Amino acid sequence: MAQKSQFLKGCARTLVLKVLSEKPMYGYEIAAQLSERTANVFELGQGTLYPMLYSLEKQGLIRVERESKAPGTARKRLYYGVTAKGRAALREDSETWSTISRGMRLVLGDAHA
Amino acid sequence: MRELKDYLVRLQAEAQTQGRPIPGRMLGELSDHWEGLRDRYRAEGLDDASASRKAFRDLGEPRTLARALKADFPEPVVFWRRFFRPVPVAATLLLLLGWTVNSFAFSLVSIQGRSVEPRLSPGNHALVEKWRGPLRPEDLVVFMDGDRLMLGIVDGWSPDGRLEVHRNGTGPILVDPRLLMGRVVLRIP
Repeated sequence: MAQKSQFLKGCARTLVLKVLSEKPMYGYEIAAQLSERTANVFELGQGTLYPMLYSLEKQGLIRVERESKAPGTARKRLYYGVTAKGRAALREDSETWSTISRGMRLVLGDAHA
Repeated sequence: MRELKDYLVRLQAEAQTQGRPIPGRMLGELSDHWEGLRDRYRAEGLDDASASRKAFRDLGEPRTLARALKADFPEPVVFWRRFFRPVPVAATLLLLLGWTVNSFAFSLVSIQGRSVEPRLSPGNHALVEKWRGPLRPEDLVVFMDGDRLMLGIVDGWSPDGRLEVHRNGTGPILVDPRLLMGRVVLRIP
């Protein structure tokens, strides 16, 4: 189980970069999008998502694109977007993933990939 | 909203207990996350109270969430922590230990070297020092012969790696390199 969780965490970076490359989103939106688009395979908990966002921001792969007032509060909601460096990393991750996926399919067969 | 505030206060208290306070910005984002969840449950037809409860359940117990954040959130690098990281500290201690042992070995060789001094001609002064560079023929060396320290003159190395030395009035002696104590430097006043 822990192994599966680590594996999913490893893939999550690529998926987060992918959804953010489509439009800027705030934390909950990212989690909801990932959950919906992966048929609940990637349900990132807050304990994983926010540290990952901060880490990606620190690496210069994403940045806070805009801030808007959260409805009904004085709080500012932060929307993240992908930087040029993030897009390059996404391209690289996607290529790596395609290669791995092709290799896995060749060994396991289409039914398992 | 009061429930959310209480939750965040408990979460921060847990995080502080675990030695890793949560930054204000992340608390704000967790609030947004909770609101997002609540709104979704409302849209699915739950009443306000149930939607709010379910959203809290999704966020998790403050203790569990604090622990998860602590595990994944990279610790800020504090200058003194970087400076006193375990590896440099261990390396410094090793160096200190090496220096102490080395100094002790020097003093030991010097003390043992003094015991051979009377064997030299009167008026000469001998210092026994550790090796500096390879031994050459005619070097004076101190070596152990049983329990005694002996002084000899280097002839060369035997094919099996032992040192060939001779003493005044004796034939060649083969000395195991491990029994060599030091090289004698003669200082004639």
